[in-house]
Amino acid sequence: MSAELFSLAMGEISDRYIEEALTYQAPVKKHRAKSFLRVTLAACLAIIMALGTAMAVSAEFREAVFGWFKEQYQSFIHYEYRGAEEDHESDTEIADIFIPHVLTEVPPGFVIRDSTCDEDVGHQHTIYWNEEKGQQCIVVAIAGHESTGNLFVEEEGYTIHPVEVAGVIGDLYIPDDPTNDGVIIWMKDHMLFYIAAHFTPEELVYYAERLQPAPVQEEEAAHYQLGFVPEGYTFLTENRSPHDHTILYSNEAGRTLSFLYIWDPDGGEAFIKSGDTQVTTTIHGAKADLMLSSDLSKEGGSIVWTEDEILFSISACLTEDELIALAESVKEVPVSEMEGET
Amino acid sequence: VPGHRKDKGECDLEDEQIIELFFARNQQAITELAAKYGSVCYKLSYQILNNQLDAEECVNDAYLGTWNAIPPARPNPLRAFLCKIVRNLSIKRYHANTAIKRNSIYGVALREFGQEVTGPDTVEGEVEAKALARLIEAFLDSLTVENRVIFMRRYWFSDSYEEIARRVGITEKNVSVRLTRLRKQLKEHLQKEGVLS
Repeated sequence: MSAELFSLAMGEISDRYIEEALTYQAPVKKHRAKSFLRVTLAACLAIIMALGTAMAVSAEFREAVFGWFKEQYQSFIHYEYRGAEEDHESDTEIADIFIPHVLTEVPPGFVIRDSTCDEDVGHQHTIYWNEEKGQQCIVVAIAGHESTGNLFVEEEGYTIHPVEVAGVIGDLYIPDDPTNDGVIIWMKDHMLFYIAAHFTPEELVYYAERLQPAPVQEEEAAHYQLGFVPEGYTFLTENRSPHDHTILYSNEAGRTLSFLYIWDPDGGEAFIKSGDTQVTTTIHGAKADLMLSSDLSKEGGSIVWTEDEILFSISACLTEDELIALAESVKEVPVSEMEGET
Repeated sequence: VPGHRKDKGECDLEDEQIIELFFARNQQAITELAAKYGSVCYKLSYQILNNQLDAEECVNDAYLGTWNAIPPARPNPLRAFLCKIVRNLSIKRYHANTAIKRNSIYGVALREFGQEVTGPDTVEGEVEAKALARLIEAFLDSLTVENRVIFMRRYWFSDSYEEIARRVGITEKNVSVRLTRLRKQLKEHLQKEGVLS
Protein backbone atom coordinates (compact mmCIF):
# COMPACT_ATOMS: atom_id res chain seq x y z
CA MET A 1 0.00 0.00 0.00
CA SER A 2 1.42 3.36 -0.99
CA ALA A 3 0.89 6.82 0.47
CA GLU A 4 -0.76 7.75 -2.83
CA LEU A 5 -3.28 4.95 -2.40
CA PHE A 6 -3.96 6.23 1.11
CA SER A 7 -4.54 9.71 -0.31
CA LEU A 8 -6.85 8.26 -2.96
CA ALA A 9 -8.77 6.36 -0.28
CA MET A 10 -9.10 9.54 1.78
CA GLY A 11 -10.84 11.07 -1.23
CA GLU A 12 -13.43 8.29 -1.05
CA ILE A 13 -14.48 8.66 2.55
CA SER A 14 -17.95 9.75 3.55
CA ASP A 15 -19.05 13.39 3.38
CA ARG A 16 -19.92 13.34 7.07
CA TYR A 17 -16.26 13.30 8.10
CA ILE A 18 -15.56 16.22 5.77
CA GLU A 19 -18.51 18.20 7.10
CA GLU A 20 -17.49 17.44 10.67
CA ALA A 21 -13.96 18.71 10.04
CA LEU A 22 -15.34 21.81 8.32
CA THR A 23 -17.80 22.73 11.04
CA TYR A 24 -15.88 21.66 14.14
CA GLN A 25 -15.69 24.28 16.85
CA ALA A 26 -13.21 23.80 19.66
CA PRO A 27 -15.18 23.40 22.89
CA VAL A 28 -14.65 25.75 25.77
CA LYS A 29 -12.32 23.83 28.03
CA LYS A 30 -13.80 23.06 31.42
CA HIS A 31 -11.50 22.66 34.36
CA ARG A 32 -12.82 19.89 36.50
CA ALA A 33 -11.07 18.19 39.36
CA LYS A 34 -10.34 14.72 38.13
CA SER A 35 -11.20 12.17 40.71
CA PHE A 36 -10.73 8.44 40.50
CA LEU A 37 -13.19 8.15 43.37
CA ARG A 38 -15.78 10.00 41.36
CA VAL A 39 -15.44 7.63 38.44
CA THR A 40 -15.66 4.63 40.73
CA LEU A 41 -18.73 5.99 42.44
CA ALA A 42 -20.33 6.71 39.12
CA ALA A 43 -19.96 3.12 38.12
CA CYS A 44 -21.46 1.98 41.39
CA LEU A 45 -24.14 4.59 41.64
CA ALA A 46 -26.92 3.02 39.69
CA ILE A 47 -27.45 -0.61 40.37
CA ILE A 48 -29.78 -2.44 38.07
CA MET A 49 -31.05 -5.71 39.40
CA ALA A 50 -33.57 -8.15 38.10
CA LEU A 51 -35.28 -8.51 41.43
CA GLY A 52 -38.93 -8.88 40.72
CA THR A 53 -39.51 -10.05 44.26
CA ALA A 54 -37.49 -7.43 46.05
CA MET A 55 -40.54 -5.56 47.12
CA ALA A 56 -43.91 -6.87 48.14
CA VAL A 57 -46.70 -5.44 46.07
CA SER A 58 -50.26 -6.58 46.41
CA ALA A 59 -51.74 -8.66 43.58
CA GLU A 60 -54.81 -6.41 43.48
CA PHE A 61 -52.65 -3.38 42.98
CA ARG A 62 -50.69 -5.11 40.22
CA GLU A 63 -53.81 -5.94 38.32
CA ALA A 64 -55.25 -2.49 38.71
CA VAL A 65 -52.39 -0.45 37.32
CA PHE A 66 -49.29 -0.78 35.25
CA GLY A 67 -46.45 1.55 34.65
CA TRP A 68 -43.34 2.79 36.40
CA PHE A 69 -43.52 3.43 40.14
CA LYS A 70 -41.03 4.96 42.50
CA GLU A 71 -40.62 4.02 46.16
CA GLN A 72 -38.10 4.38 48.93
CA TYR A 73 -36.33 1.11 49.70
CA GLN A 74 -33.73 1.33 52.48
CA SER A 75 -31.15 3.84 51.20
CA PHE A 76 -32.28 3.40 47.60
CA ILE A 77 -34.92 4.88 45.42
CA HIS A 78 -36.53 1.90 43.73
CA TYR A 79 -38.00 2.37 40.26
CA GLU A 80 -40.21 -0.57 39.45
CA TYR A 81 -42.38 -1.41 36.50
CA ARG A 82 -45.67 -2.96 37.53
CA GLY A 83 -47.62 -4.62 34.80
CA ALA A 84 -51.11 -6.09 34.64
CA GLU A 85 -51.18 -9.90 34.74
CA GLU A 86 -51.79 -10.23 31.03
CA ASP A 87 -49.10 -7.73 30.25
CA HIS A 88 -46.03 -9.92 30.52
CA GLU A 89 -44.37 -13.28 29.96
CA SER A 90 -44.04 -12.83 26.23
CA ASP A 91 -40.69 -11.88 24.73
CA THR A 92 -42.54 -10.47 21.77
CA GLU A 93 -44.29 -8.06 24.04
CA ILE A 94 -41.00 -6.90 25.53
CA ALA A 95 -39.63 -6.40 22.05
CA ASP A 96 -42.70 -4.34 21.22
CA ILE A 97 -42.15 -2.14 24.25
CA PHE A 98 -38.41 -1.71 23.81
CA ILE A 99 -37.43 1.02 21.38
CA PRO A 100 -33.68 1.45 20.83
CA HIS A 101 -32.57 5.00 21.59
CA VAL A 102 -29.48 6.93 20.52
CA LEU A 103 -27.92 10.21 21.53
CA THR A 104 -28.48 12.59 18.64
CA GLU A 105 -25.64 14.71 19.95
CA VAL A 106 -22.61 13.14 21.56
CA PRO A 107 -20.90 15.04 24.40
CA PRO A 108 -17.65 16.51 23.00
CA GLY A 109 -14.70 14.14 23.27
CA PHE A 110 -16.75 11.10 24.26
CA VAL A 111 -16.62 7.80 22.40
CA ILE A 112 -18.42 4.53 23.05
CA ARG A 113 -16.28 2.23 25.19
CA ASP A 114 -18.77 -0.57 25.59
CA SER A 115 -22.35 -1.39 24.90
CA THR A 116 -24.48 -4.17 26.33
CA CYS A 117 -27.95 -5.29 25.41
CA ASP A 118 -29.22 -7.68 28.06
CA GLU A 119 -31.79 -9.86 26.38
CA ASP A 120 -31.76 -12.66 28.99
CA VAL A 121 -33.90 -10.69 31.37
CA GLY A 122 -35.52 -8.54 28.75
CA HIS A 123 -34.45 -5.53 26.81
CA GLN A 124 -32.12 -3.34 28.75
CA HIS A 125 -29.58 -1.42 26.73
CA THR A 126 -26.55 0.17 28.36
CA ILE A 127 -23.96 2.27 26.56
CA TYR A 128 -20.75 3.31 28.27
CA TRP A 129 -19.17 6.47 26.88
CA ASN A 130 -15.64 7.48 27.82
CA GLU A 131 -13.50 10.46 27.04
CA GLU A 132 -9.75 10.83 27.07
CA LYS A 133 -9.43 12.08 30.64
CA GLY A 134 -11.32 9.11 32.01
CA GLN A 135 -14.70 10.79 32.39
CA GLN A 136 -17.52 8.33 31.98
CA CYS A 137 -21.09 8.71 30.82
CA ILE A 138 -23.53 5.83 31.20
CA VAL A 139 -26.71 5.86 29.15
CA VAL A 140 -29.34 3.23 29.97
CA ALA A 141 -32.71 2.40 28.43
CA ILE A 142 -34.92 -0.24 30.06
CA ALA A 143 -38.12 -1.69 28.65
CA GLY A 144 -41.06 -1.41 31.01
CA HIS A 145 -41.80 -5.03 31.84
CA GLU A 146 -42.06 -6.98 35.05
CA SER A 147 -39.10 -9.15 34.16
CA THR A 148 -36.79 -6.19 33.66
CA GLY A 149 -38.29 -3.16 35.26
CA ASN A 150 -36.23 -2.68 38.41
CA LEU A 151 -33.75 0.06 39.05
CA PHE A 152 -32.25 0.89 42.42
CA VAL A 153 -30.51 4.22 42.81
CA GLU A 154 -28.47 5.15 45.85
CA GLU A 155 -30.08 8.23 47.34
CA GLU A 156 -27.56 9.04 50.05
CA GLY A 157 -25.26 11.89 49.11
CA TYR A 158 -27.66 13.30 46.51
CA THR A 159 -30.39 15.88 46.41
CA ILE A 160 -33.26 14.95 44.12
CA HIS A 161 -34.95 17.64 42.07
CA PRO A 162 -37.93 17.24 39.74
CA VAL A 163 -37.04 18.31 36.22
CA GLU A 164 -38.85 18.40 32.91
CA VAL A 165 -37.21 16.22 30.32
CA ALA A 166 -38.58 14.97 27.01
CA GLY A 167 -42.03 16.26 27.93
CA VAL A 168 -42.27 14.39 31.24
CA ILE A 169 -41.15 15.06 34.79
CA GLY A 170 -37.99 13.19 35.68
CA ASP A 171 -35.63 13.08 38.65
CA LEU A 172 -32.38 14.97 38.66
CA TYR A 173 -29.87 13.64 41.21
CA ILE A 174 -27.44 16.41 42.08
CA PRO A 175 -24.47 15.13 44.10
CA ASP A 176 -23.66 16.82 47.40
CA ASP A 177 -19.99 16.20 46.59
CA PRO A 178 -19.31 18.00 43.30
CA THR A 179 -16.66 15.44 42.38
CA ASN A 180 -19.38 12.80 42.09
CA ASP A 181 -21.44 12.25 38.98
CA GLY A 182 -24.97 13.52 38.55
CA VAL A 183 -27.84 11.34 37.40
CA ILE A 184 -31.03 12.04 35.52
CA ILE A 185 -33.86 9.51 35.36
CA TRP A 186 -37.13 9.73 33.48
CA MET A 187 -39.86 7.38 32.32
CA LYS A 188 -41.68 7.69 29.06
CA ASP A 189 -43.72 5.38 26.82
CA HIS A 190 -43.29 2.44 29.22
CA MET A 191 -39.52 2.81 29.15
CA LEU A 192 -37.14 4.12 31.78
CA PHE A 193 -34.02 6.05 30.85
CA TYR A 194 -31.13 7.30 32.85
CA ILE A 195 -27.88 9.09 32.23
CA ALA A 196 -25.10 9.18 34.82
CA ALA A 197 -22.15 11.44 34.13
CA HIS A 198 -20.01 14.19 35.58
CA PHE A 199 -22.07 16.83 33.83
CA THR A 200 -23.69 19.95 35.18
CA PRO A 201 -27.45 19.64 35.84
CA GLU A 202 -28.08 21.70 32.68
CA GLU A 203 -25.85 19.36 30.63
CA LEU A 204 -27.63 16.30 32.01
CA VAL A 205 -30.99 17.71 30.94
CA TYR A 206 -29.51 18.80 27.60
CA TYR A 207 -28.24 15.32 26.73
CA ALA A 208 -31.34 13.64 28.17
CA GLU A 209 -33.39 15.67 25.68
CA ARG A 210 -31.13 14.34 22.95
CA LEU A 211 -31.73 10.68 23.72
CA GLN A 212 -34.14 9.91 20.90
CA PRO A 213 -35.56 6.78 19.26
CA ALA A 214 -32.98 5.38 16.86
CA PRO A 215 -33.95 5.88 13.23
CA VAL A 216 -35.30 2.74 11.63
CA GLN A 217 -32.79 1.36 9.20
CA GLU A 218 -34.47 1.08 5.84
CA GLU A 219 -33.37 -1.54 3.42
CA GLU A 220 -30.76 0.05 1.23
CA ALA A 221 -31.62 0.44 -2.42
CA ALA A 222 -29.59 -1.50 -4.96
CA HIS A 223 -26.36 -0.10 -6.34
CA TYR A 224 -25.67 0.18 -10.05
CA GLN A 225 -22.48 0.90 -11.92
CA LEU A 226 -21.19 1.38 -15.44
CA GLY A 227 -19.81 -1.79 -16.98
CA PHE A 228 -16.87 0.23 -18.27
CA VAL A 229 -15.60 3.78 -18.11
CA PRO A 230 -14.81 5.47 -21.44
CA GLU A 231 -11.12 5.86 -22.21
CA GLY A 232 -9.55 8.92 -20.65
CA TYR A 233 -12.19 9.28 -17.93
CA THR A 234 -11.47 8.62 -14.27
CA PHE A 235 -13.66 8.68 -11.20
CA LEU A 236 -14.18 12.19 -9.84
CA THR A 237 -16.75 11.98 -7.07
CA GLU A 238 -20.15 10.58 -6.16
CA ASN A 239 -23.18 11.55 -4.14
CA ARG A 240 -25.70 9.06 -2.75
CA SER A 241 -28.88 10.40 -1.17
CA PRO A 242 -31.89 8.47 0.15
CA HIS A 243 -33.42 8.95 -3.31
CA ASP A 244 -30.69 8.89 -5.91
CA HIS A 245 -27.05 8.18 -6.65
CA THR A 246 -24.84 10.29 -8.90
CA ILE A 247 -21.36 9.21 -9.98
CA LEU A 248 -19.13 11.66 -11.80
CA TYR A 249 -16.09 10.97 -13.96
CA SER A 250 -13.85 13.50 -15.69
CA ASN A 251 -11.15 13.48 -18.31
CA GLU A 252 -7.99 15.50 -18.82
CA ALA A 253 -9.92 18.07 -20.88
CA GLY A 254 -12.18 18.77 -17.93
CA ARG A 255 -15.22 17.09 -19.54
CA THR A 256 -17.60 15.50 -17.09
CA LEU A 257 -19.46 12.24 -17.46
CA SER A 258 -22.36 11.85 -15.08
CA PHE A 259 -24.18 8.62 -14.31
CA LEU A 260 -27.35 9.05 -12.26
CA TYR A 261 -30.08 6.72 -11.12
CA ILE A 262 -33.17 7.61 -9.09
CA TRP A 263 -35.13 4.91 -7.30
CA ASP A 264 -37.47 7.11 -5.28
CA PRO A 265 -39.79 8.99 -7.64
CA ASP A 266 -41.02 11.16 -4.76
CA GLY A 267 -37.59 12.32 -3.73
CA GLY A 268 -35.56 12.70 -6.88
CA GLU A 269 -35.82 14.46 -10.19
CA ALA A 270 -33.58 14.80 -13.20
CA PHE A 271 -33.41 17.72 -15.59
CA ILE A 272 -31.81 16.68 -18.85
CA LYS A 273 -30.82 19.15 -21.52
CA SER A 274 -33.10 18.45 -24.48
CA GLY A 275 -30.35 18.77 -27.10
CA ASP A 276 -30.71 19.48 -30.80
CA THR A 277 -31.76 15.99 -31.80
CA GLN A 278 -33.94 13.52 -29.94
CA VAL A 279 -33.88 9.86 -30.80
CA THR A 280 -35.74 6.93 -29.31
CA THR A 281 -33.90 3.66 -28.77
CA THR A 282 -33.93 0.74 -26.36
CA ILE A 283 -31.67 -0.11 -23.43
CA HIS A 284 -31.98 -3.58 -21.91
CA GLY A 285 -35.22 -3.85 -23.85
CA ALA A 286 -36.69 -0.71 -22.28
CA LYS A 287 -37.52 2.45 -24.21
CA ALA A 288 -34.80 5.07 -23.93
CA ASP A 289 -34.58 8.72 -25.00
CA LEU A 290 -31.36 9.96 -26.54
CA MET A 291 -30.81 13.70 -26.57
CA LEU A 292 -27.88 14.79 -28.67
CA SER A 293 -26.21 18.12 -29.23
CA SER A 294 -25.20 19.16 -32.72
CA ASP A 295 -21.63 19.61 -31.42
CA LEU A 296 -20.93 16.49 -29.39
CA SER A 297 -17.38 17.51 -28.58
CA LYS A 298 -18.61 20.55 -26.66
CA GLU A 299 -22.17 20.00 -25.49
CA GLY A 300 -22.43 16.24 -25.29
CA GLY A 301 -25.58 14.22 -25.11
CA SER A 302 -27.74 12.34 -22.66
CA ILE A 303 -29.55 9.06 -22.58
CA VAL A 304 -32.43 8.41 -20.21
CA TRP A 305 -34.38 5.23 -19.61
CA THR A 306 -36.48 3.56 -16.92
CA GLU A 307 -35.90 0.03 -15.75
CA ASP A 308 -37.63 -1.69 -12.81
CA GLU A 309 -39.09 1.69 -11.83
CA ILE A 310 -35.61 3.17 -11.58
CA LEU A 311 -34.77 6.17 -13.76
CA PHE A 312 -31.27 6.02 -15.26
CA SER A 313 -29.44 8.87 -16.96
CA ILE A 314 -26.00 9.17 -18.52
CA SER A 315 -24.72 12.53 -19.76
CA ALA A 316 -21.36 12.94 -21.46
CA CYS A 317 -19.54 14.28 -24.51
CA LEU A 318 -19.89 10.96 -26.33
CA THR A 319 -21.35 9.85 -29.63
CA GLU A 320 -24.75 8.23 -29.96
CA ASP A 321 -23.21 4.75 -30.25
CA GLU A 322 -20.92 5.33 -27.30
CA LEU A 323 -23.78 6.54 -25.10
CA ILE A 324 -25.88 3.51 -26.02
CA ALA A 325 -22.99 1.12 -25.38
CA LEU A 326 -22.36 2.76 -22.02
CA ALA A 327 -26.05 2.56 -21.08
CA GLU A 328 -26.19 -1.10 -22.10
CA SER A 329 -23.23 -1.78 -19.82
CA VAL A 330 -25.03 -0.54 -16.69
CA LYS A 331 -25.41 -3.39 -14.24
CA GLU A 332 -26.62 -3.93 -10.71
CA VAL A 333 -23.93 -4.51 -8.14
CA PRO A 334 -25.01 -7.36 -5.86
CA VAL A 335 -25.20 -6.48 -2.18
CA SER A 336 -22.82 -9.33 -1.39
CA GLU A 337 -20.27 -7.85 -3.78
CA MET A 338 -20.72 -4.41 -2.20
CA GLU A 339 -20.06 -5.86 1.24
CA GLY A 340 -17.01 -7.66 -0.04
CA GLU A 341 -15.75 -4.48 -1.58
CA THR A 342 -16.27 -2.47 1.55
CA VAL B 1 -15.33 32.88 -12.95
CA PRO B 2 -15.72 36.04 -10.91
CA GLY B 3 -15.52 36.30 -7.21
CA HIS B 4 -14.21 32.93 -6.19
CA ARG B 5 -11.83 34.46 -3.66
CA LYS B 6 -14.58 36.23 -1.77
CA ASP B 7 -14.79 35.45 1.90
CA LYS B 8 -17.37 33.09 3.24
CA GLY B 9 -20.42 34.91 4.43
CA GLU B 10 -20.90 37.21 1.45
CA CYS B 11 -23.51 34.85 0.06
CA ASP B 12 -26.78 34.81 1.95
CA LEU B 13 -28.31 31.96 -0.04
CA GLU B 14 -28.94 28.55 1.42
CA ASP B 15 -27.41 25.57 -0.39
CA GLU B 16 -30.85 24.56 -1.67
CA GLN B 17 -31.30 28.00 -3.24
CA ILE B 18 -27.91 27.80 -4.95
CA ILE B 19 -28.81 24.36 -6.30
CA GLU B 20 -32.08 25.77 -7.63
CA LEU B 21 -30.05 28.39 -9.52
CA PHE B 22 -27.98 25.56 -11.03
CA PHE B 23 -31.16 23.77 -12.03
CA ALA B 24 -32.45 26.96 -13.63
CA ARG B 25 -29.13 27.14 -15.54
CA ASN B 26 -28.61 30.59 -14.05
CA GLN B 27 -24.91 31.52 -14.05
CA GLN B 28 -25.49 33.44 -10.85
CA ALA B 29 -25.26 29.97 -9.28
CA ILE B 30 -21.49 29.92 -9.78
CA THR B 31 -21.11 33.45 -8.41
CA GLU B 32 -23.09 32.49 -5.32
CA LEU B 33 -21.19 29.21 -4.96
CA ALA B 34 -17.91 31.09 -5.22
CA ALA B 35 -19.02 33.72 -2.73
CA LYS B 36 -20.07 31.11 -0.22
CA TYR B 37 -17.40 28.44 -0.58
CA GLY B 38 -14.69 30.02 -2.75
CA SER B 39 -12.43 30.73 0.16
CA VAL B 40 -12.47 27.19 1.57
CA CYS B 41 -12.03 25.74 -1.93
CA TYR B 42 -9.09 27.95 -2.80
CA LYS B 43 -7.36 27.22 0.51
CA LEU B 44 -7.89 23.49 0.09
CA SER B 45 -6.44 23.55 -3.42
CA TYR B 46 -3.54 25.81 -2.43
CA GLN B 47 -2.53 23.52 0.45
CA ILE B 48 -2.20 20.72 -2.09
CA LEU B 49 -0.62 22.63 -4.97
CA ASN B 50 1.30 25.43 -3.24
CA ASN B 51 0.73 27.52 -6.33
CA GLN B 52 -1.75 30.38 -6.54
CA LEU B 53 -2.42 30.12 -10.27
CA ASP B 54 -2.83 26.36 -10.25
CA ALA B 55 -5.12 26.56 -7.24
CA GLU B 56 -7.29 29.21 -8.89
CA GLU B 57 -7.54 27.13 -12.05
CA CYS B 58 -8.46 24.01 -10.09
CA VAL B 59 -11.17 25.85 -8.20
CA ASN B 60 -12.55 27.26 -11.46
CA ASP B 61 -12.48 23.76 -12.97
CA ALA B 62 -14.36 22.54 -9.91
CA TYR B 63 -17.04 25.19 -10.45
CA LEU B 64 -17.32 24.07 -14.07
CA GLY B 65 -17.53 20.46 -12.91
CA THR B 66 -20.29 21.42 -10.50
CA TRP B 67 -22.11 23.32 -13.27
CA ASN B 68 -21.96 20.19 -15.43
CA ALA B 69 -23.00 17.94 -12.58
CA ILE B 70 -26.00 19.94 -11.30
CA PRO B 71 -28.44 19.01 -12.72
CA PRO B 72 -28.95 16.11 -12.61
CA ALA B 73 -27.11 15.77 -9.27
CA ARG B 74 -28.63 17.42 -6.22
CA PRO B 75 -25.76 17.03 -3.73
CA ASN B 76 -26.35 17.28 -0.04
CA PRO B 77 -24.22 18.56 1.58
CA LEU B 78 -23.17 20.82 -1.28
CA ARG B 79 -19.97 22.02 0.40
CA ALA B 80 -18.54 18.53 0.91
CA PHE B 81 -19.47 17.65 -2.69
CA LEU B 82 -17.67 20.74 -4.00
CA CYS B 83 -14.65 20.20 -1.73
CA LYS B 84 -14.33 16.61 -2.98
CA ILE B 85 -14.21 17.82 -6.57
CA VAL B 86 -11.63 20.48 -5.67
CA ARG B 87 -9.48 17.97 -3.79
CA ASN B 88 -9.62 15.36 -6.54
CA LEU B 89 -8.82 17.87 -9.28
CA SER B 90 -6.00 19.38 -7.21
CA ILE B 91 -4.44 15.98 -6.47
CA LYS B 92 -4.66 15.08 -10.17
CA ARG B 93 -2.80 18.28 -10.97
CA TYR B 94 -0.34 17.68 -8.13
CA HIS B 95 0.66 14.36 -9.65
CA ALA B 96 0.80 15.89 -13.13
CA ASN B 97 3.11 18.70 -12.07
CA THR B 98 6.33 17.38 -10.57
CA ALA B 99 7.71 20.85 -9.88
CA ILE B 100 5.33 21.54 -7.03
CA LYS B 101 5.64 18.26 -5.21
CA ARG B 102 8.26 19.21 -2.68
CA ASN B 103 6.79 22.29 -1.12
CA SER B 104 3.09 21.79 -0.58
CA ILE B 105 1.62 20.81 2.77
CA TYR B 106 -0.14 17.97 0.99
CA GLY B 107 3.27 16.67 -0.14
CA VAL B 108 4.66 16.90 3.37
CA ALA B 109 1.62 15.15 4.85
CA LEU B 110 1.87 12.46 2.23
CA ARG B 111 5.56 11.90 3.01
CA GLU B 112 5.08 11.72 6.78
CA PHE B 113 2.35 9.19 6.20
CA GLY B 114 4.47 7.23 3.74
CA GLN B 115 7.42 7.08 6.09
CA GLU B 116 5.54 5.89 9.13
CA VAL B 117 2.57 3.93 7.90
CA THR B 118 3.20 2.60 4.44
CA GLY B 119 6.30 1.60 2.52
CA PRO B 120 7.47 -0.93 -0.02
CA ASP B 121 8.37 -3.51 2.63
CA THR B 122 4.93 -3.42 4.23
CA VAL B 123 2.92 -4.41 1.21
CA GLU B 124 0.61 -7.24 2.04
CA GLY B 125 -1.35 -7.03 -1.16
CA GLU B 126 -2.99 -4.24 -3.05
CA VAL B 127 -6.27 -3.12 -1.65
CA GLU B 128 -8.74 -1.01 -3.58
CA ALA B 129 -9.14 2.62 -2.62
CA LYS B 130 -12.83 2.18 -1.82
CA ALA B 131 -12.18 -0.79 0.44
CA LEU B 132 -9.36 1.10 2.14
CA ALA B 133 -11.70 4.09 2.58
CA ARG B 134 -14.14 1.91 4.51
CA LEU B 135 -11.29 0.72 6.78
CA ILE B 136 -10.22 4.32 7.35
CA GLU B 137 -13.82 5.23 8.18
CA ALA B 138 -13.95 2.45 10.78
CA PHE B 139 -10.72 3.82 12.22
CA LEU B 140 -12.13 7.36 12.27
CA ASP B 141 -15.26 6.13 14.05
CA SER B 142 -13.09 4.78 16.85
CA LEU B 143 -11.54 8.20 17.52
CA THR B 144 -12.72 11.09 19.66
CA VAL B 145 -14.28 13.92 17.67
CA GLU B 146 -11.24 16.10 18.36
CA ASN B 147 -8.75 13.50 17.16
CA ARG B 148 -10.91 12.74 14.13
CA VAL B 149 -10.94 16.42 13.19
CA ILE B 150 -7.16 16.64 13.66
CA PHE B 151 -6.66 13.62 11.38
CA MET B 152 -9.06 14.92 8.74
CA ARG B 153 -7.65 18.43 8.77
CA ARG B 154 -4.15 17.05 8.20
CA TYR B 155 -4.80 14.27 5.68
CA TRP B 156 -7.90 15.48 3.87
CA PHE B 157 -7.54 19.27 3.99
CA SER B 158 -3.71 19.26 4.19
CA ASP B 159 -3.74 21.87 6.97
CA SER B 160 -0.50 22.89 8.67
CA TYR B 161 0.12 22.01 12.32
CA GLU B 162 -0.32 25.69 13.18
CA GLU B 163 -3.75 25.85 11.54
CA ILE B 164 -4.90 22.65 13.20
CA ALA B 165 -3.67 23.87 16.61
CA ARG B 166 -5.62 27.10 16.19
CA ARG B 167 -8.78 25.29 15.08
CA VAL B 168 -8.76 22.65 17.81
CA GLY B 169 -7.47 24.85 20.61
CA ILE B 170 -4.30 22.93 21.47
CA THR B 171 -0.60 23.59 20.96
CA GLU B 172 1.31 22.80 17.77
CA LYS B 173 3.45 20.38 19.76
CA ASN B 174 0.32 18.61 20.93
CA VAL B 175 -0.92 18.39 17.32
CA SER B 176 2.39 16.83 16.31
CA VAL B 177 2.28 14.29 19.13
CA ARG B 178 -1.34 13.39 18.47
CA LEU B 179 -0.76 12.93 14.74
CA THR B 180 2.18 10.65 15.46
CA ARG B 181 -0.05 8.57 17.74
CA LEU B 182 -2.89 8.59 15.21
CA ARG B 183 -0.61 7.35 12.42
CA LYS B 184 0.60 4.59 14.72
CA GLN B 185 -2.98 3.66 15.63
CA LEU B 186 -3.99 3.65 11.97
CA LYS B 187 -1.05 1.43 11.11
CA GLU B 188 -2.09 -1.01 13.85
CA HIS B 189 -5.68 -0.88 12.62
CA LEU B 190 -4.64 -1.64 9.04
CA GLN B 191 -2.36 -4.44 10.26
CA LYS B 192 -5.24 -5.90 12.24
CA GLU B 193 -7.41 -5.75 9.12
CA GLY B 194 -4.72 -7.53 7.11
CA VAL B 195 -3.93 -4.64 4.80
CA LEU B 196 -0.43 -4.18 6.20
CA SER B 197 1.92 -6.85 7.40
